[in-house]
This record gives sequence, structure tokens and C-alpha cells, in this order.
Amino acid sequence: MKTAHCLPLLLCLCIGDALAGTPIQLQHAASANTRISISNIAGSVNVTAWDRNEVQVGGELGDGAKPLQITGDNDRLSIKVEPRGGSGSGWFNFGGDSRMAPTTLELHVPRGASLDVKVISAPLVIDGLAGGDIKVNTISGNARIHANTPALDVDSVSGGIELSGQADKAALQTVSGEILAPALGRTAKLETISGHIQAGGGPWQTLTLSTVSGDVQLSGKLAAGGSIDIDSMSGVVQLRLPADTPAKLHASSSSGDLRRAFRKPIEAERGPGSSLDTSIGAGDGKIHLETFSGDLRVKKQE
Amino acid sequence: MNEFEWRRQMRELQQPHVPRRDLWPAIDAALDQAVADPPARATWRRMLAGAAVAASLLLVVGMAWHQWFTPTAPAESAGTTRQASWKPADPRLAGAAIELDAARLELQLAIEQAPDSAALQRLLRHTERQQAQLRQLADRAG
Repeated sequence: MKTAHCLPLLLCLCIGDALAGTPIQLQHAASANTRISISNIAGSVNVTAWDRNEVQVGGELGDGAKPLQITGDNDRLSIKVEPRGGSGSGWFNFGGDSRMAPTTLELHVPRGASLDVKVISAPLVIDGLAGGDIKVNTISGNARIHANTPALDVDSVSGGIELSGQADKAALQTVSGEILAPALGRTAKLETISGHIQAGGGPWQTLTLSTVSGDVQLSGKLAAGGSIDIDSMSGVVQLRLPADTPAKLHASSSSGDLRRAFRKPIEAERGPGSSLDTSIGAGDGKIHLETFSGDLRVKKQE
Repeated sequence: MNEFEWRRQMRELQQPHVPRRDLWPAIDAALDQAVADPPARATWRRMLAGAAVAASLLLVVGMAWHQWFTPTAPAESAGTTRQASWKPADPRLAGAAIELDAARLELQLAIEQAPDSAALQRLLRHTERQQAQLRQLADRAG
């Protein structure tokens, strides 16, 4: 009788086991600043830095995927999740995820490694890297990156981008994904169509930001002789700067409202619109803000 | 005029009156003239009818010519609509394609209102570049 009661439970466990993917356990020697290419369609990718000259891959391979391998030499390694029966014509291989279940990748890589990650709908987490470049392409998966990197390049369609740590040079682009980057380094380029941007950091030598309808909150410092350029169509732009920012500020809006903490804006003589030209602090930096219908707010940092 | 005088005049109106001159010769002459005229008028009417038929035929032929032989001009707006209606097969890209199309159209409208805005021109270039990248992704998808 007791056995009969346990049968459904055993059956469920057997089915669960049959549907589960294949555990992954791979490792490969690597140089301290190895370059690693990773691609996965669906599932997740977690990359954690460690202080070993070795790459270790764990996780679970989805049903229908080719057996996973680490290919290449110690300086250049590749880990690609591909469906059985051909990898398709494109690197994204959009049709591939209909032929295989999601794959979970848990990687440990040398701290100084450079990464080139391509995912479609798999969320990506990169944690603890220091010293190597990072390049990410994602479609709908969010990318969370905690690293100190000389160059970060993230191109996303609808996935959000979260950056903590420090990127000396960052290029972050989304269509509708949000960008959260409170510690941008000397050079930054942020572009979105409708995603919101919340960013900070500096001191910036060059910061360019463009948004069509996404709102922007930017707070940080400008380097001596540096420049900030922000273009917005209907997105609201809020910029917070120290009171002694060494720059000249030009801000204009065709029909949006312009509020400032530094000087009264000049209203257009005819029609809507306003502009502001002022020097914030002594210096030759340049800040140029322009919106069409989005409101502009320039405030002093507390 | 009193009432009696008014009634007397009314009674006189009831009596027959002879015209001061004979009217029949003039009526007869006019009737003869009318009999002599009809052939010319009929010719004129036939000509009018023929001209109307010819004009109608010309109109029909002209319309047919316009319908069959005028080339359908590929207007710019048609191209824009085609571009705007591009939708990738993959649902993960379709939403972004719609969003980019909407952004591009909004920017074009904004540029019409503020043609001197360099910021709007840059934003339009960014948007079109992202559209091109999305098309490449869709093309390269396996």
C-alpha cells in the first residue's frame, strides 16, 4: 500500500529526470589574459572571475544541443552552444532554440580575461573581471556586468544593461532596453531609442548620449577640457553637475520646458522654445544639450 | 369710380371685341415660314448629337488610355510605407522593428517642424543605423 502511494512521486521524479538536460563539467587551461568567446541562445550565462589560469564550465546542456566543448588554445578559447544537426547559417541561429532546450552555462574564467559574449534571450551576468575588454551582443536577455574594464561594448535590442564597477571606455546601445550605469569612466557613448538611461561617474573626457523618447538621468563630473553632448527628441533629460564644473553650457529645447539652476533661460522671441548659454565654472569644457519636445533640467549636484 | 360705374364696365368686358385689323395674314405668313425652316434646324440638331457622341467616345477613350497606359509612379511615401511595414519573422526582433519604425517616423515629423535641428538629424541617423543593424541580424539569423 505504501509503495502504491509512492508510485506517482517516483513517476514524477523519473519524468523530471528524463526532461532535465545534461550536466556540464568542462575545464581548460588558459592564459591570465585569455580571450574567451561564448554564445548561447536561451537559458542563462553566468561568468565569474577567479584567480586561476583555467576556464571551468558547469551548468546544464539543454536537450537537443550538441555536446559542449571548449575549443581553441590557452590564449583564445571558444564555448558555443549549438543545436544538433548543424549550427545554421548565422551566429545567432534564431531557429536553433526551437530545436533545443535552454542551456545554463556557469563559467569561471581568469580575472584578467577578455570576453566576447553573444546571447539571444539568455540573461547574462559577468562578475569580478578586471583588466580585459568585454563585448556583449544580446537580443532580449538582460546583461548585468560588474567589472573593471578598459573597454566595454554592449549592444542590446530589448534587453536591459546594468553596469557596476568601472569601464574606462563604454559604448552601450539599446533599442528599448534600459541602461543603468552609475560608474562610467572617461569616455562613454550611450544610445537608446525608447529605453531609459540612468548614468553617472566621470570625470568624463567625452560623453555622448542620444535618446529618442527614453528619459535620461545623468549625474557626474566633467574632466578639464572635456565635453558632454546630449540629444533627445521627446525624452526628458535631467543633468546634475557640480557647481564648479569647468565648462560652458549650451542648452536648448524647441518646445520642451527648460529649467536650470545656473542661469535664467532665454525664451524664444517667437513661438515656443527656450535656450540657455552660460558658464558654470572657469574652464574650457563644453556641455551641449538639445531636445525637441523633451523637458530639460540642469541642476547642481548636492 | 362708384360701384355702379364699375359694374357697367365689367358687363362690357363680357361682350365680344373685333380686332382693329385682320390678324390672319400675318399668322399665315409665319406658318409658311415655319414649314420652310425645319430641314436646317434638323441638320443642326443632328450635328449637335454627333458632336455629343464624338465627345463621349473621346472621353471614354481618354479614360481607358489613362487607366491602361499611365505608369504607376513609385512615390516616396509608398517606399516609406514599405519600409515602415518591414517586420522580421522572429518575434524577438519584431517589437524592436516596430519601435524603430515609429521612432523614425516621429523624428521625420519633428524635423519637418524644426528643419535646422542638428540633434534631430543625428538622432535620425542613429535610428536608421539601428534599423540597418536589426535588418542585418534578421538576415543573418539561421
